[in-house]
Amino acid sequence: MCINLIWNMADSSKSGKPGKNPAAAADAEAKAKEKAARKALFEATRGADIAAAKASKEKNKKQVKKNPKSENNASAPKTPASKEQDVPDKVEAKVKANQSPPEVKTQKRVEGAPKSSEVKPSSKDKLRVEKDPSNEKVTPKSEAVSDITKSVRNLEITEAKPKRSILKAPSSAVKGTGRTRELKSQSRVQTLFDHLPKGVEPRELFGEEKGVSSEGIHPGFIALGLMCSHGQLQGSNKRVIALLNVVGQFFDSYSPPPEKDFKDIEVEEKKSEKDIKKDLAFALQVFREERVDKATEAIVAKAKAKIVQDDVVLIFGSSDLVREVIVEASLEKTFSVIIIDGRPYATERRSKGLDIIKELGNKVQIIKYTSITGLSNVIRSVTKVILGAHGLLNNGGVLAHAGTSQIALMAAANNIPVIVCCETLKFCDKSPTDSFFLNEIGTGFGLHKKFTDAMTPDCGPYLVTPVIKYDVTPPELVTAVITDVDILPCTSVPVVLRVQENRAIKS
Amino acid sequence: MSAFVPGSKDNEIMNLFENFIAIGQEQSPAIAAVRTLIHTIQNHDGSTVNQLVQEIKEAIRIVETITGKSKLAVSSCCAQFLQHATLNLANIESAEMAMCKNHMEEEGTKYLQRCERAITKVASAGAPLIFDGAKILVHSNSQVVLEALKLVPENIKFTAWITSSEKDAANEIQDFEYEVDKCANITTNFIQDSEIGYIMETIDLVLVGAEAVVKNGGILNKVGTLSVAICAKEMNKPLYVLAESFKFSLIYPLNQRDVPSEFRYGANNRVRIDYTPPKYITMLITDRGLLTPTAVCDELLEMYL
Amino acid sequence: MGSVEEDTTTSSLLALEALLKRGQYTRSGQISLLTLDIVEKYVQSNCWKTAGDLITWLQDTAETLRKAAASETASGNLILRLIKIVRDDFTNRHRSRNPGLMSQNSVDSEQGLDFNLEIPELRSDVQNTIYELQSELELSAENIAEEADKHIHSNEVVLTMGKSKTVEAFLKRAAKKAVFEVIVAECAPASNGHELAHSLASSKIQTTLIADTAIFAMMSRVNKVIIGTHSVLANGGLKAIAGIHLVALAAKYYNVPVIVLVPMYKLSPEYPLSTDINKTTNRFVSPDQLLDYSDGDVYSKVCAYNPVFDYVPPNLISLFIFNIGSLAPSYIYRLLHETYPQIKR
Repeated sequence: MCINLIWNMADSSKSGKPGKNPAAAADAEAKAKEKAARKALFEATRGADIAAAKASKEKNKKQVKKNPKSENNASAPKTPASKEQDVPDKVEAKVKANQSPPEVKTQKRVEGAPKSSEVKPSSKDKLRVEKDPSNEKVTPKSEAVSDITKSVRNLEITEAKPKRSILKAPSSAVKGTGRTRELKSQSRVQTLFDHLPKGVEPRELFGEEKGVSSEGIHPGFIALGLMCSHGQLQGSNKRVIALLNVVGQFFDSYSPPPEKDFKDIEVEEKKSEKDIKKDLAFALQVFREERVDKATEAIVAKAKAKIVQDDVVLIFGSSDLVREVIVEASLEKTFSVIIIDGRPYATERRSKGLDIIKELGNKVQIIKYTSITGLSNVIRSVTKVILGAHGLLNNGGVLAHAGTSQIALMAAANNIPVIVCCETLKFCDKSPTDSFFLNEIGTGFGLHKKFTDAMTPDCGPYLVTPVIKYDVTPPELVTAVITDVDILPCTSVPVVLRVQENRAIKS
Repeated sequence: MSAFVPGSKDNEIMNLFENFIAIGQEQSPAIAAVRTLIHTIQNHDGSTVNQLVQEIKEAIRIVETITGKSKLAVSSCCAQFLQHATLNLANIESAEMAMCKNHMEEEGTKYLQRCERAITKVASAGAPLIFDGAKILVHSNSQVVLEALKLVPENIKFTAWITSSEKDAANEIQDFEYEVDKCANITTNFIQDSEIGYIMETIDLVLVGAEAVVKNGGILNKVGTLSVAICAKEMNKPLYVLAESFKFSLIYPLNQRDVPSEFRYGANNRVRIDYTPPKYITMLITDRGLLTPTAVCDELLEMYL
Repeated sequence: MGSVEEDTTTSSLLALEALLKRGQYTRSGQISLLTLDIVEKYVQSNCWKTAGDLITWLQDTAETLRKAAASETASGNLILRLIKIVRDDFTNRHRSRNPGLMSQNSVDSEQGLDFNLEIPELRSDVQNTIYELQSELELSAENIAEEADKHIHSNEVVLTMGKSKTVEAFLKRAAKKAVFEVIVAECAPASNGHELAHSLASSKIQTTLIADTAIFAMMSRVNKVIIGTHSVLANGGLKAIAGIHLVALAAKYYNVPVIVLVPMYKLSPEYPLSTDINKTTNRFVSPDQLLDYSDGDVYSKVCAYNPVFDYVPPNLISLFIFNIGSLAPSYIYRLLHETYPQIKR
């Protein structure tokens, strides 16, 4: 979906801004794209809904904004409109000539996402179907906008459809014991996670019976999606940067389908393919610099001002941002750090806390380390808690690594301020009230080896071991959120989003 | 406070009471009251137990009338004294007045001794509350709290914030602060009552005394205690009350207005006492042991039945 | 004085002391049973004649064991109970022999009695008491489990943490009548939760095993929290395994009732006075479960803590289930009053 948007933006900007500095135009669209792209990946690996919605909104805004400029293209979409019913890539003609890539890319986007595999055929179909009726409309931009919005929304819906839970299989195998218990052996708790995608193997993604072909999808996306789903790529910033890289690769390697040509794109300045690609790459770069790197710097600057001499700071997990904050602050003042870890070393291959220790080891004066169960023993001496986040939700909730909410709860119970560091990039339009709607099921947790052997086969289905990776911290437990824009209370997320929207529309 | 014309006997009692207060110095007026009552028993020349009890009650009334700020403590102490003294009268086989009188005097004296020992017991039970480097908030200038602070070993250094709450006597505050300041291991800071909210986040625990402990485990104490308690509860800081068991009273206030008005007001008709409900109190440290607020009712029942 | 018997008792006591000092125990029930064995041997021997002798020996033993392991209060609790029972027995026998004694105010009664009077029936009384205590100890889990039907109903989701023998028996008993689900938090780093999860699943109870970090996330779907504890303190608070405080806080946030299953010998007359309770009565074990030795040089600057116990304040607990019945935390003081000897007034 993000790619969808990207192309839309690209085209709309290129065509709609005559005389404007292409770079600036590219910037604007790039921002939108990146935002969308980022969100898309973010979503793709987590639930695919957030980004889609956001992306579509972003796109909406951009589209609306660019509409006036793309007035001249009004004619162009009209003719293709009729084509849209016939040609498979109907979307193509809608706004700009390059609508076909969006559809394909949409697919790619979708398929890059690890869990959407089973949904893909239907989502594609729906896309097409949806696009059909919308094609009737002749008003170009709004049509285009609504089209794309609709298509993206459909994608969301389809992706959000509960998939057949892989873990359901074993319980269904428990038949024949003849008691009513069988029907209930499907764990209520387990059903809480049915809507979430589970990690899948590449061969499960593609195949004829699945109706999804791996052609037409840039292998970078597939690789990216797999890495995310298999836990090799963790951390929202890392994933965002990875997505941007892949998008860059994709731009590079993209060549328009034979029947269309770049030159068919209605651009004010006839640019060569190379130039357009350069522009896009530049736009990507600018976006990344602004929204990721500079944002990090801004947050670090604000956060380290909040740490005072002789503080005792508590951190959790291995957020890159928080680590930066600590390292930068330790250059100016001396304070001690307590690191809380989720699952300790012995029971998991890689423990996040240990990574942080390795990084901080020589830079910070005193480090204490304990597992989350030891938290109430160390909390008394803590003066501040600094946490990273994966996303900030519309209702003020903080989506972060599982365990963050508990740290916030314990800190609040001891009257200790909790600071969350989060880029505005990660602000999200959803408002889940619990931790189940948006989550990611990971791997790597199961019954300890010494017990698995003792488990008899018919007892197997009675034991489930989900790995819950994220949770939502309620806003009343968080004292402040430090973003690249400002230091805000948790509840100001919708304000920031609205301001950004307005800004985007105006510019 | 009602005007009454003291008779000669009443005068005698008043003088006695004031005498005992003067002798007692640091001790609570309640103890002086008990002494007065014992003296009354000793000098009683009536012939029936009922008369004796009546005389005691009369003495109690007089003493309560002339007591200044410790009215609550005196009142509950006297009530308990009466209870103790007459508790086992029924078991005395002989109906002789002298024996009854002796018994009552004995019981009364035992009670007096317990009361006198009480403050030390409470202080020594309360001293371990304070750990090295603690930051405590003290309110209401209680004598018991002072004793407890003095009993903290020299090697434990801590900081105390003392509120300058409403003064009853001109030099009351200075005395208290002076005494606390004398201790080498205590760093004292004096703050206004209005600064309590500000300072509460750095505090580890709050110590107050009590003028009376009411039936449900709440306390009646100098006005301002309720604000401190609410603030402490909100910031999750423990509130400890140090009180001797003779302050346990049979009053059960429902809210501030339910506190009997003779106790509530002080000089100039200003409010002197407020009621702190038990939910704000972490623990009561008494000479009967460490009590949760719910245990207070139990103890009271035990005393009175 | 049978010196042989005395030696046996002393050697058993020394063995128990060594066990405590070296930390070679896992459950306080085990310690309690060993303590009772030692006391039984002593009582059966001829080393004592009067109640006073016995009480003195008991007090000394309690002190020795307390010094051996400050964090383990089970043996001390049992001995205190015995002291109270011995005193009560003595008082009753004494009174029945001297009916003319005026019943005194409870405050002064004990001061008036001389425990050095010999009463022959006392020996058999005490022996009976010890048998009773032993059977109570052994059957505590079953007795508590009998309450299971009243508390767990069908289609509920119950959360627990770590492994407690009492909780296990409770849940299995409840599973006979009701179909419900259990979520077990693994309780890192010792990860006892795995054992419980395996045991429950083997008994065909639908179990979900989660990491400790997921507790808050799951709590919104939980109907009840049922936990065991190491000991119950005099103010109604708990000294439980590290991590239980997290569970209790999360349960309080979602208003989920927290039920604590505890046999009587775990009730301790200590008050957690110091706000730094964790430092005074906590045990810290080796952090090798947290860190790996092979990365030693990297972690040389790090202090790793692996505490065993947590303090849970009484306002987070809804109900205690003892083997004698269920109680609210505010009533613990009464139970203490009845079980343990009064403080000297």
